[in-house]
Amino acid sequence: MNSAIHPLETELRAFETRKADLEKTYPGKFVLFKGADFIGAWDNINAAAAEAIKLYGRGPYLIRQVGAPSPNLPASVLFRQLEMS
Amino acid sequence: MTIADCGFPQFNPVVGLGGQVQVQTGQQVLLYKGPTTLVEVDFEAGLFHADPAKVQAAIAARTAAPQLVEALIDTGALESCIDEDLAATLQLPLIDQGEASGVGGKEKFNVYLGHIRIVALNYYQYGRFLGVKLQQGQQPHKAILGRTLLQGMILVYDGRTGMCTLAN
Repeated sequence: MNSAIHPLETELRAFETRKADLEKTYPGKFVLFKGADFIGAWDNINAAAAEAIKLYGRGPYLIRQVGAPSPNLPASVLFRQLEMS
Repeated sequence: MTIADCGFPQFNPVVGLGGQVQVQTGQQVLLYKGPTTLVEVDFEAGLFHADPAKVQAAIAARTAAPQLVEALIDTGALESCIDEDLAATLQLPLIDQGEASGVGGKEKFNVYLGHIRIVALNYYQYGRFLGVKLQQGQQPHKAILGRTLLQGMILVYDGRTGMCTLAN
């Protein structure tokens, strides 16, 4: 990922601005942001995605689970050797 | 039970350094490449629905994407991932940017909506996927199938022969 402005810059900033409030009101829910607007919160990713697709097609839009930890990447592919000997 | 062959035959022609064709055993290829299966990566709006019956209908109505790619079955990965370049090419919906941690520390990655279909099993995993730099890192695979996918499956890995099967 390069350092140019991210396509979700506005949405990411809007989420961070409202993060404390979201963590109180919608813990564990999947929230949808379009631009700076908070659209809503759903119980699961499918429900949030269904609404996002209905409203905005392929986006971009932000769907994030409130309070979810950062994912862990697998170690395996990070150390794969490039050429088979 | 449907079974997918994710290993390699006894003898395999492999193009090595300098373009020379070498023959490697299934044991060697499985060792270096890892369990591998063909998958379809794409986005189908109909899969994202609260009603399971409508999801099944969307699956039944799908026409397969023309391009299949190799995926690594990776028991070291919690979640399945999609190659970042492939996700951009397929114009998968971009839904987040997340910080992910691995042995190299923390880095930011895009998150996409989409699905991975294991062709041999006609099995769909759909939802959000991290976009990881497999192609940029010269990895042979374009997707990683993690434990969230494997939790409903049986994986048999025979490192002595190069055979590997995945069943659901």
